[in-house]
Amino acid sequence: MLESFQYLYIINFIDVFEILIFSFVIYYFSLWLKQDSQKKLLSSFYLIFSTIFVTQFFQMNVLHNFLIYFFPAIIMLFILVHQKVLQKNFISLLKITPEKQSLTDWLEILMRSSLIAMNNKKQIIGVIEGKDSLSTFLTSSFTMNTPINKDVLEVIFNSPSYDQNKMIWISQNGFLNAINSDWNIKNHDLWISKEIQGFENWKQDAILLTSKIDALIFKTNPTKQNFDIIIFGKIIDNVLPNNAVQIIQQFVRKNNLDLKKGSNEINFKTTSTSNQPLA
Amino acid sequence: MKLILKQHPHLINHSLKVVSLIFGYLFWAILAQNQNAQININIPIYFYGLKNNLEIESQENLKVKIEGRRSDLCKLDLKQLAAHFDISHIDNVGEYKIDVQKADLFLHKKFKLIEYSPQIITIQIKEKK
Repeated sequence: MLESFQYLYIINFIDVFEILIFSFVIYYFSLWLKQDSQKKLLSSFYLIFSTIFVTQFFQMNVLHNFLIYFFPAIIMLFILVHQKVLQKNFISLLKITPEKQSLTDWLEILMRSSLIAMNNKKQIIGVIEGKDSLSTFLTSSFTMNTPINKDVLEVIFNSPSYDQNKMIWISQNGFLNAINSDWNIKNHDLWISKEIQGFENWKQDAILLTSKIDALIFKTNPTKQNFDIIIFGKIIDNVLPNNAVQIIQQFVRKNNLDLKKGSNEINFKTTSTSNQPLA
Repeated sequence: MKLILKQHPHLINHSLKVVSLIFGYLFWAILAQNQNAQININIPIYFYGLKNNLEIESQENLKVKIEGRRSDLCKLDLKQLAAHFDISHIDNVGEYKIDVQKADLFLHKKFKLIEYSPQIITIQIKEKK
């Protein structure tokens, strides 16, 4: 018997072990809630806990029993409110680590080829994979897995087999994974909010997927000679080619830094839609 | 070390850990206070009613396991707990065996004596020198 802890209701070491398990669960649940900086769920969680203790202290038995008995339901409500982060954590089952391959100029090659294609009145929709694997979300008729280079892109964009309404799938380390790729999303309407239902299909899919997983989607506008970019569920319309390069570079660099540092230190400037150069 | 802390920011989240420990304890205490718990303790043995010309030789402690509500157990003054045996009926020297009963502990009825050992105490009664 731990006599010195008797007044804390602690009788033996099993009690200490139980307390540590409770603390461990609460700690990791708190860490998880802390990730959602918008809704301040952590303070709400602490508030509910505190209410339980206060009702116990002041012998408010009805409220106390209600809180204790419905505690699992309250936690479920928390998880429901917090489901966006949950989806983000679980929707992508596979985290990928890019190969360490030096392809510094693949982005410039891609942009140059896209501009040439735009001049030839061809539209290109591309998805650049981040850390989350897209293999479960995309179906492709042509799997390539080849490093991006000028000749390959020229052949592809001029090929009659290339479907302009489908996507080219690029990895963040500059590999062309596939062409003529399409989203493999079921129950589409259940996921899409009313606000974006008026958009084109590719935009709806892109907003949905980029809000949940780590990917960047771009589309060339041959008539306006610019790009539409969708990242983190936000649309950046009519971006000039040099700005598009910067945004994609930031996206790729952020993922590379994340792999090195294990932290999110670079914030994207996805605030507005404009032709203005990014600072 | 710094690199490890940078790679695992949760390791330096001390305030969250402390708060979690406090909440973890309080939550456990609320749930545990009305649960039954058991304690194992050694209690001293006392004899009363011994004749003036006699002296007694016996073991000093009894090992008991007591069950009760955790909140009651924690309020129990363990130093006051003891086994008391009436030996006023013993007039002669010799070896005697005494059955240990719950009543000998004078435990409150909200506590349950789960087990004790030994169940029979052997005492030696001798003439006082």
